[in-house]
Amino acid sequence: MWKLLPIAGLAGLIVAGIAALVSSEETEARSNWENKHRQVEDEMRRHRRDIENHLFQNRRAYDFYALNEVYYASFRAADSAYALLRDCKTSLAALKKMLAATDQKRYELKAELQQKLLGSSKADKIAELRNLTQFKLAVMKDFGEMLEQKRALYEEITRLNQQTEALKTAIGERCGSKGKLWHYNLQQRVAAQRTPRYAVSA
Amino acid sequence: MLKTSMMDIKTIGLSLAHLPMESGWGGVLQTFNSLGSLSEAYGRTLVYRLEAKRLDTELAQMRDQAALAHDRIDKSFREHMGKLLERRAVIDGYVDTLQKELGECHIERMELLSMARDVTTHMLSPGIPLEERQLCRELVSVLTAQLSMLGSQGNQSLKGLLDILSQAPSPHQPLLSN
Repeated sequence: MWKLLPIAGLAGLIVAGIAALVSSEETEARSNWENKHRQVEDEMRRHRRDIENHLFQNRRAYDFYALNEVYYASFRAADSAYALLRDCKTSLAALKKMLAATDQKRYELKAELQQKLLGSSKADKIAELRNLTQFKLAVMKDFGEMLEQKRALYEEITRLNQQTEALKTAIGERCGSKGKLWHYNLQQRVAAQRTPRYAVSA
Repeated sequence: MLKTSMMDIKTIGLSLAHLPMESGWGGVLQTFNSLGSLSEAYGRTLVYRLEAKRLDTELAQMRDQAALAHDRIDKSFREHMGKLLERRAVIDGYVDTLQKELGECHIERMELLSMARDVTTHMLSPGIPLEERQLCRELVSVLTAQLSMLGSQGNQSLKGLLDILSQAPSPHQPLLSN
């Protein structure tokens, strides 16, 4: 019986050695698993952040180009509207002068008619006055139409100016550093010009 | 995915919360009398290794998916930019045509206006026979009507451009959707 004790001791030591080995491997495996677990979590967070960031940057870049496009188109449309308005104003001013000259002539004719005139001369003056009245009415009709066109253009230019301003602000505020720089440069150019481009008087 | 892996471990009867953390001879003494606990520890080790391998696969899949997502974002961006360029070409073409039209229209209007002014001056000048004055009146009526018509045409062309512009993105909403 006592002779078996060393064998039992040896067997115990072997089992203890194996247990230590297994335990150490388990610890290592668990530690490895935990590290991987953390790595997966970290990497998942990083990928999610990267994707969101990528999407955000692309949105900003697209917003910049899209708003820029509308801004310049709006700007050019305002340019065209302004050219039309200028022509309309020139035409109205010219028609106004023509109407004033006609009124002056009619006034003179009326004054002449109040004097005593011979029959044929009076008839001529009346015919001339009638001609001028017809002229005035025809010109006034076109003047009225052009006045309406001017009003419509003025409203359109005001709306386009507001839209252009809103686009300018949106580019500065929503398109990151690129938009901010663009907005700043534009403000500098506007300040350098000093006078507003579309200062429209009704 | 990670939750699933935890569930798997629980399913085979090994709660991770109860896995022994201590190592060395203390653990050896605990398992000295039991080969069963040895096999359990070995089993847990295997599960950890298997889970670690599964996480490796998961990691690789996640990287692939992330790369795919980045590709999709870039592709969507390119598509949107392509459409933007097409629309820009349409608008630019329209504005160019409009400005050309308006330029020609301007010249025509100024010529008509000059003629109307001259004819009016002639009509109002003394010594002109009534018949001639009447002809002048009729001519000026035609000229001013033309002026008004050209203005109306210009406004219509401008309206066409503004209609196209009204379909453009608004500055008040985010432009690029997923």
